[in-house]
Amino acid sequence: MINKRIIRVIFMFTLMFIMLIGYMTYFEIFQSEAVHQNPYNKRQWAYEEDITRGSILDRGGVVLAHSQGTERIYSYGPLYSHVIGYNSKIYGKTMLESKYNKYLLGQDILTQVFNLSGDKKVGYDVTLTIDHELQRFAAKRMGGYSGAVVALNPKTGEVLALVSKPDFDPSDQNLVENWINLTESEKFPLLPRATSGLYAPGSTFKIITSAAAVENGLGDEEYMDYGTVKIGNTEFQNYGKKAGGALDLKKAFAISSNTYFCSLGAKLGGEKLLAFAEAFGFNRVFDFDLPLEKSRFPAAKGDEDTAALAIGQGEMLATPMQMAMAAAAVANEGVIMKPHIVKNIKNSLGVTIDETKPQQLYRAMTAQTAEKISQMMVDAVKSGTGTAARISTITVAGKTGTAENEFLGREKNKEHTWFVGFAPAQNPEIVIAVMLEYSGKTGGDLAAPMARDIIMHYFGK
Amino acid sequence: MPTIFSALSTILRYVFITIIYLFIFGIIRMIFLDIKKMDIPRPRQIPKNMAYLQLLTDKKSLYFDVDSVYPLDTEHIIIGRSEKCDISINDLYMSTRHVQLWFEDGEWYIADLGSTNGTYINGRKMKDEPLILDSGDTIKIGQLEFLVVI
Amino acid sequence: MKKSIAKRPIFMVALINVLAFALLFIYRTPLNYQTLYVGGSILALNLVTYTIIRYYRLGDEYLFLIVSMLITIGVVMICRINYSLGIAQVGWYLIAICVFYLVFAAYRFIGFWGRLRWLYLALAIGLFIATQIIGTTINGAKNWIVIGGYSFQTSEVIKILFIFFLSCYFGGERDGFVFNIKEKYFITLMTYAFMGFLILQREWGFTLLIFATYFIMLYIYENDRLLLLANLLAAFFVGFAGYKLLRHIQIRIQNWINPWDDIANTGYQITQSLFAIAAGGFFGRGLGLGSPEVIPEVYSDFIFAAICEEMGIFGGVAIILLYLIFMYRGLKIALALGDGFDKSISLGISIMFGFQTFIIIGGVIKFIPLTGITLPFISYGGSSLVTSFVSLGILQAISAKGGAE
Repeated sequence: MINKRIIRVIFMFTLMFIMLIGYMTYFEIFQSEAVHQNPYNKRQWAYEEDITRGSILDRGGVVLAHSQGTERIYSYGPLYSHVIGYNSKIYGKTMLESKYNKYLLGQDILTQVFNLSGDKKVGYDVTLTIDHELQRFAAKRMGGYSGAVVALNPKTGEVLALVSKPDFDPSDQNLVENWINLTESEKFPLLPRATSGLYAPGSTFKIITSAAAVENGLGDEEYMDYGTVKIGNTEFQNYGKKAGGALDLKKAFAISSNTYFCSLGAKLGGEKLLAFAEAFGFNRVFDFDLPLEKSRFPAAKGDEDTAALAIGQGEMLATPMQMAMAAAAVANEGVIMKPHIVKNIKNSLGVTIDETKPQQLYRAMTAQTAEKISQMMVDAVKSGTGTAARISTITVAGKTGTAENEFLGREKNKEHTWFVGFAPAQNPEIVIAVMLEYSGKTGGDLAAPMARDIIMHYFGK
Repeated sequence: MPTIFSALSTILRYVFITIIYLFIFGIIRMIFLDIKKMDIPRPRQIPKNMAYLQLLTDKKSLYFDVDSVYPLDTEHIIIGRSEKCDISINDLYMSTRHVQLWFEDGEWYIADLGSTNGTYINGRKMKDEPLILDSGDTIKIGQLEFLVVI
Repeated sequence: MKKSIAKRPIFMVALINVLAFALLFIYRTPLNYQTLYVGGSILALNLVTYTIIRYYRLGDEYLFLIVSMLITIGVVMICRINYSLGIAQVGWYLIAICVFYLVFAAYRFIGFWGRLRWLYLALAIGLFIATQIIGTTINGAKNWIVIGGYSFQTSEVIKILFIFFLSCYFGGERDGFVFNIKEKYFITLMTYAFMGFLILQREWGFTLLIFATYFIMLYIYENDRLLLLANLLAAFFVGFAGYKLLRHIQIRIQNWINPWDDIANTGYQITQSLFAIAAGGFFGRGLGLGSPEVIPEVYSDFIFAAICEEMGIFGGVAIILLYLIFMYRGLKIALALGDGFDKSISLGISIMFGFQTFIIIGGVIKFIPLTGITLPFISYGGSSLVTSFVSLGILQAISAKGGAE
């Protein structure tokens, strides 16, 4: 009896010790990173001071951020404030400086042994997929507007440009001097609009509604557009109440007829629309290199709701990145490649430590549907609402949007304007999403020409 | 100097961890063999602290006489078919002088004496050089298998 | 079957010793040759003792084998953190080894240890009272006595006296009476008295240790499940009352649940420990490359955090496994014995080692509330090391007896 109990005690201790081991493993895997980054961790300060932080470069090798001693130098001032973020002892780290901190301080045996630059250790260099020339031009072209430009390579998911405005100078000195202004300004300069700003997508959402319609066998039947339509208790109207006459999906898309799409949405139903929104990435998250806000699409409560959602209004919100991904799906035969902004990571000797490989993220629709939508987007630019994005030598496909928001009915000229598109339409190399918040013009007037210039710049025209 | 030290230390940490785990593995293995040994009770006629060989082969299947326990009571023991051997067993698969065991510096050693059919330690045929025996090892000579208890 | 010495566990201990001390030797400039003497002494003491145990068949060889590995890692870490403490620890180790042989001989050849219960009780109470009267306050607790310039922690001695006292009862007939009180109630009463004294000295770790050891011993020996249950309830009650009444315990519980609230103050020690463990990752920063010295008390109670920082989670897990095997060996020795004093003593010692390890490692990694107690064989400190070797000597003697009977 006694020996039996002793054996039980042996088991008890074994279990207790295994619990210790389990807890340590759990701590290491799930908690240690947060603990390590705790601002009270002296170890971290000492460690960082011991290492020259790695540089951040654009895809062509242009140095965007580098360190001299403990000072972090951002060569292009505010241009990358919403991509690279800042690295401050006082205010912490944001964006890539935070997410890739481990690598920027990275050490391996090779670097340690063959440290040529003297006694200070050197972290890894991070090369981005960003095209500095394009980024610079896009920011310049946006001028004083608040908003965002996202440019992607639809075949790889590489982020070519990611501009959010307003921006700020991320140098430590500026942060210290202007922190109060930055945090309290009504323009929210610290908000990375391209990835964390949420906006009603307006008519650009018709891309997704159209995909849902095509895949559900709708869109070929004739529809009479009288400029307004009543669904439930709400009257939906076209821009300027213009009547479109007899329409099918293709024509309705080109002129961006609200009445058509509202009726189409009601016919499709909330569930199908929701399913497609989610196939395109709404209500879903993936691990992006930067903090990415989840775009939201609600479950519709009735036909009125569904009708509003079908034209990108209602309780739906999307990030500019999300709408760029929607266009990328059309450009890449229905497949959304996983967006990424870090191309590779190399140690100070030039040995590659890590490299991002293109990866499929979602299949949004079939290749055939994508082909049809693509054609519709080409027509919209050629002869519809997006003519301002037309380029003589390159076929541009696109969709404009003018989204109502919380200012509706209170103040005029406060709509968000959108343009999403890609070029060349036959073999897309660049997807672009332009969003200008509270700008008060139509997407066709404001966002489309901006997109056109950026695309032209990209192709060197 | 600090750089060399940190490089060395960075590499050696893997070495340390490997050695400690090899150590743990070694101890667990030894304990395991110990338990195996404890499963067979120590025969009465063997005094405490004396090493012995325990027969593992089933005696009933054998055509010749063999004891179930052989004490290792002198410092040099030869096993073989010849009657002059310290442990003489009339197994036809055994050579006249098959294998020798001897005690030296606190360890029992074993060496094959050029036997025809060879000697197997823990299932592996031994080569020419002598080996140190450990408690729980098995020795196979001819048709017989013994467990070493030290 | 071993083809070469390289596969022997003792060789691994030697290898770790040589590599680690060679590394420590070049750690600081100018080179300090004393490092090599420290490493050499530890190596020599380990090899000699192991050989003696093996060659003269002084019982179980695994116990010392594991301890020699723990000692080696311990001295390496202490030397790395604080050089002079490392040298002092070697001195303590030499003394501890001598004590080990003395205790071994005394226990092996003297047979009346089981009849001295009043002596153990008197000694323990004497020590408690002495601590209260002539004790020195270190770190806010009056639990040290200074004799001739050397201070020792009385609770370390008391825990061994407690095991002896308990074993006199559990190893004996178990149905007698003391002052008209049934023996089992008497020892229960005495256990709570021990705990009371320890609480007075603010020795939370030892209080927990004494209770846990008593409880498991009772579980093994006593068929009276009601008494067991009553003890469990009493423990809950005492714990709860302590939590309500004593600020000390409240702080400890708060710092266990969320140490980040008061990082600068009461949560400082545990958070520094967690920072260290987090910095280490799975493989550690490498010996000498972390900064364990920022943790207060890192060379004694918190040495496990330092090991985790520089040798990684894998190093820490290895330490835990070593203690587990050690305990298993101890309990295995007890299993092989017939009822009696020896069985009870070896049980008590093994269980106490097990709990002590669990309490401090669990505390340092924030798995359970932190109560200060040393990590046996690894932490710096004469009292802890010597008493650990007293326990080891007794276990060794019992295992040698078992082999000789």
